Amino acid sequence: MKTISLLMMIVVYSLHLNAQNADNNTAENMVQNNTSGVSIGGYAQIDYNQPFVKDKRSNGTLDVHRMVMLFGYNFNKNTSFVTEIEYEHVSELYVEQAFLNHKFTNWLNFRAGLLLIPMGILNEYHEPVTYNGVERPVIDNNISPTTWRELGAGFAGRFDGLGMKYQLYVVNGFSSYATSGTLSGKTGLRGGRQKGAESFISAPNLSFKLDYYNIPGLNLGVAGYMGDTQSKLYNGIDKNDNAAMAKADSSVVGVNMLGVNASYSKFGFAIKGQYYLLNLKNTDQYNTFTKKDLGKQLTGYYVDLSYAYPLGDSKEKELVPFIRYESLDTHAQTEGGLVRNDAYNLHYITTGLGLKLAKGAMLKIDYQWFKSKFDTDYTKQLNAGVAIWF
Amino acid sequence: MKIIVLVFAVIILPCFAQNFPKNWENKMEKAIVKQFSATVAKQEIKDDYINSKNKHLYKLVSGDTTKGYLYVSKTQACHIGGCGNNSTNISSQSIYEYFTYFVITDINTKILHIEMLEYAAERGFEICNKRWLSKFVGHEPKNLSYGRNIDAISGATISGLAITGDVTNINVILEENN
Repeated sequence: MKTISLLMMIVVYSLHLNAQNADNNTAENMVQNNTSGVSIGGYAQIDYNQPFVKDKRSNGTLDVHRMVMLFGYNFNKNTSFVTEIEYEHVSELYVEQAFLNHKFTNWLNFRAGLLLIPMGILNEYHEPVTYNGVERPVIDNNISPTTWRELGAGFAGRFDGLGMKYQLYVVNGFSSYATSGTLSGKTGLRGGRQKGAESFISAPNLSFKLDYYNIPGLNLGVAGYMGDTQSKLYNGIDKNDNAAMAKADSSVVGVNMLGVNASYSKFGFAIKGQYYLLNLKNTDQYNTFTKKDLGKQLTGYYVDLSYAYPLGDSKEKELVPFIRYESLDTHAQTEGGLVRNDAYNLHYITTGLGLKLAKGAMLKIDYQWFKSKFDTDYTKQLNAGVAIWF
Repeated sequence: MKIIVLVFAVIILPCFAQNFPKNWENKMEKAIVKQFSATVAKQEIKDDYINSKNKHLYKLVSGDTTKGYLYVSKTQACHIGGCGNNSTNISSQSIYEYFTYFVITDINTKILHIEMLEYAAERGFEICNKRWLSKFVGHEPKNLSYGRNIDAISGATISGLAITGDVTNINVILEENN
């Protein structure tokens, strides 16, 4: 009897061990992401813009502004590749991201490839359902030239206990001179984006951001970007040829950019604020050499208020009224004899509605008033659009 | 004989049947001890549907009394490469980023403690915030409403909705097993 009981105990215990092994496989799944495979996502922004100019007729424009496919591939639990391929205006094809990510720990990931520059709220999270209004804020065109991406490598990670996230990359920079000057007073550095397409490098740049999210509902970020712009004139010159070096030096500017962002949401109310300060060195020499009108200091900011009003019982449908004030001055300061251009000092008031039909599917309509310091009257514009993300 | 049975019982019962990473087990044990002032035995409630989706529910038992429940769940956050919308079905062709968390409830499934074990997705990490998660405490899963009694987090909507919805599996498993 005792022997039988003992044998039964052993049998039961070994059955338990077998069950444990089967459960191990399930548990292993719990610590790993699914085994390798491809994931596909995408987003799209389709716009209708209708300006209203006093005493004049204006044509409207309709545009499939962006049609983007996102692909992700997990090689294993720690290594992944992310790429974003974009069709702009139905004819221009760009790669906006293409980087390999390897995770050592939660607080240390290594990345290399075509990376999004961490600056402000919008550049990293630029899908059209994540911001209010049909068009992106204007400071995210002319100061932070979104979608701002560069080739480089660096580190990123999160300290969840502290509620902090960091990113630190060494990257290629803006081209300020290829066959002629590319930067301008109106759009700042935007014309110098190399976009990862057969880019050339003459000086590495540094990009970093710190995000703080320890207080629920509050996101704070501070970002910096610094380095000289790139010039083809450096290629092949003798290091002792002072004249050639001086000429190349006058085709570049030094970039120092600061971005500060804050957003807070509670009970459906949300407030977002963004401030950029961009200081450029050597703009006087640059403008003399390239016949451009690049400013020495560019500043901009916006404040955006919205309320997400839930429609019905569904957690997906929402009506989001918003209002945003934006200010942009790409000639905040100029160097040498360059006179500040009032046409580059603008402010925008945008107000409108977003209708979220489902997670990732949104209709937008808004009305904008904008004028520069040079204008006497406001230009008005109606915008309507479709925003998709999946 | 009695000694052998007793020895087996002591070895088998308090441990997890699953082989979680040691630091996860430590976190869960620590939280259990904090809630119930003693170690308790964990009896897994088997449910093939839920278990195949990487969710485990344990009855926490002290002697003959059920003290509460422990729920460990691996939940989809975004899918790598895109974050706009997530299907709740796990498709073998789609690769998701996940987070794993655990919940301790009382005998009536009222949440006593909720904690993130691992957050492996690129976005939505704001839900790891202990202060945000503490808002779940005191509620029954079915009464949670993201955007209402659980604050919405701008930029973490997918993950916030995912965890708020996933916690209700506790009641689903219990109802199916009664």
